[in-house]
Amino acid sequence: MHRHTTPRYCALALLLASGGGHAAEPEGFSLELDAYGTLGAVHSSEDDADFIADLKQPDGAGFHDDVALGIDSRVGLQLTATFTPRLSSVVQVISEHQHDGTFSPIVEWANVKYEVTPEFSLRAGRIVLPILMTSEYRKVGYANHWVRAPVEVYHLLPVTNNDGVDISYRIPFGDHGYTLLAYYGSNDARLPSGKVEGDGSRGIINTLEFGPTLLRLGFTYSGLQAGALNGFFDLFRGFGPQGQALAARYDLNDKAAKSIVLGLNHDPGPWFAMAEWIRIETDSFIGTNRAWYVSSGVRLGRATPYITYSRKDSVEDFSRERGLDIAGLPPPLQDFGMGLNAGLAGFLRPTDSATVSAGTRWDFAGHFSFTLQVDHVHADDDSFGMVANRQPGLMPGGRTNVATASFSFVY
Amino acid sequence: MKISLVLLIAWLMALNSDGASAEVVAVVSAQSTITALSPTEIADIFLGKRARLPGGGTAVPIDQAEDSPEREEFYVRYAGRTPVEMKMHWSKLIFTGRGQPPRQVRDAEAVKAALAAQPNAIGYLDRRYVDESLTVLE
Repeated sequence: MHRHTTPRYCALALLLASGGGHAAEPEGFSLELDAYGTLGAVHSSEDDADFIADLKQPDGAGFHDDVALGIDSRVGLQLTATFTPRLSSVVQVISEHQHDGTFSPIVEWANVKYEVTPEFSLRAGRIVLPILMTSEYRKVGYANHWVRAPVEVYHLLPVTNNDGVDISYRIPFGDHGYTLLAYYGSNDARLPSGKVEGDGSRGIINTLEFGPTLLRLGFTYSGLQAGALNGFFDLFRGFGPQGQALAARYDLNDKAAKSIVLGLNHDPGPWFAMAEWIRIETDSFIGTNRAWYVSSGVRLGRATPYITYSRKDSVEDFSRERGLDIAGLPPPLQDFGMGLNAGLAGFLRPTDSATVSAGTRWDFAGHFSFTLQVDHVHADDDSFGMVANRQPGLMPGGRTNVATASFSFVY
Repeated sequence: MKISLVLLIAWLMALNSDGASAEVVAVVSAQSTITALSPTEIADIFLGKRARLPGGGTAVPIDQAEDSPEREEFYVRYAGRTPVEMKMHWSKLIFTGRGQPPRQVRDAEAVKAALAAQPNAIGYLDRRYVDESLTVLE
């Protein structure tokens, strides 16, 4: 939030840009360094599984850690360079809990923006993947009233950035505005189980703003490449046509994810309410899922108490899937087929759950906020919920309480 | 009787303190082609939601210092946003490269200087600093 236009910074930037040459100072050039971060501590009452905030996290609170710091904690550093009033560039590096357990920094965004007109801009490079309403700032703890975006909805899209292009076109009318955002590119999510790549990823997001109210409607599509389960499904393919049919039906590789998202945000100032709904279809073992949340809070001076309800439902019912028909196979193959069927049943098991959250954010000083939140997570009767590292003692239909204390800043 | 007297005094004091608080107004240079903007247009320009002036030029909003009473009152009055809400607003936009907050200057005199230097600049200051070099947007 601190704009540095002093000659010292310009000179430094020019030195970096020109390798110490004798470039003249360009008109309107400025460099800005911004930072944000969150330190969050999370405790879960379920010891036989890990509560996680993002599918890429290899462990979390409950089984692995009594108090986990890797769920919400992160730090981000951003350099914004404005070359001319129309041409600017953003590079953001984030350090957060990665699939491999490290906090190695990653380049979250690195793109160049060109404003054809103040209403029409083009970006190229690594850009935010703006599918959900808070995608653009969900990692910036300070910008959010809650400690994390509702996992029932945000788990469905573990990808946050896209290597490609996007266009944004805004049509103001009176005090209102309509914005069309369209993107195209490719991306990948590095999960503990392996890499999931999205190719030909594209979408259109329509946003309508009238006064304090924002309505959002988006349609997205992405091809999927996921090699991690190839070995497992190859074993099915070894069982001839019936195995091949099962592999074709449930493998995630060479499939596509199609989603529709609907969002609403109303923020007149003293209070706010937001809601989001998503339906995402994958034509794989993940199936088709529907998820939504509503969240609302009031601003009472420095305190912002809020409540959130979120839930996820599987649209497709896989409970009738019997897997390979092993009758008539030689006994050793029967055993092997039964093992494969058990594995498949594990993948097909629903992860549906609902969460009620209540919390309060305190803006206790300048650029700092402190938030306390408790979540009551209720997994559906046939579901273990959206947890990691399930242990043998974990029962379906569990109820878990999660408590979080989180400290955020922006600079 | 005593109680009503106390109440009357308290009420007069409240009125007085109200009258004493600064009135912040949005201003442009007297040389500017802009002569009128609605409060919503002004708020949208300062929130980064509107880039263009009615005449077609690119609006250049000028902020006062971050913790100044003028800044707080301006955003409460025009945008209905507290300082914390404004910080949250900009942290949503900055960290995706969607926008940068207005240029910030030290005080009312610096606002005047910035407006004089840039015909499309819009600022705000306490009404008592208004002089013939400025047009108040009302």
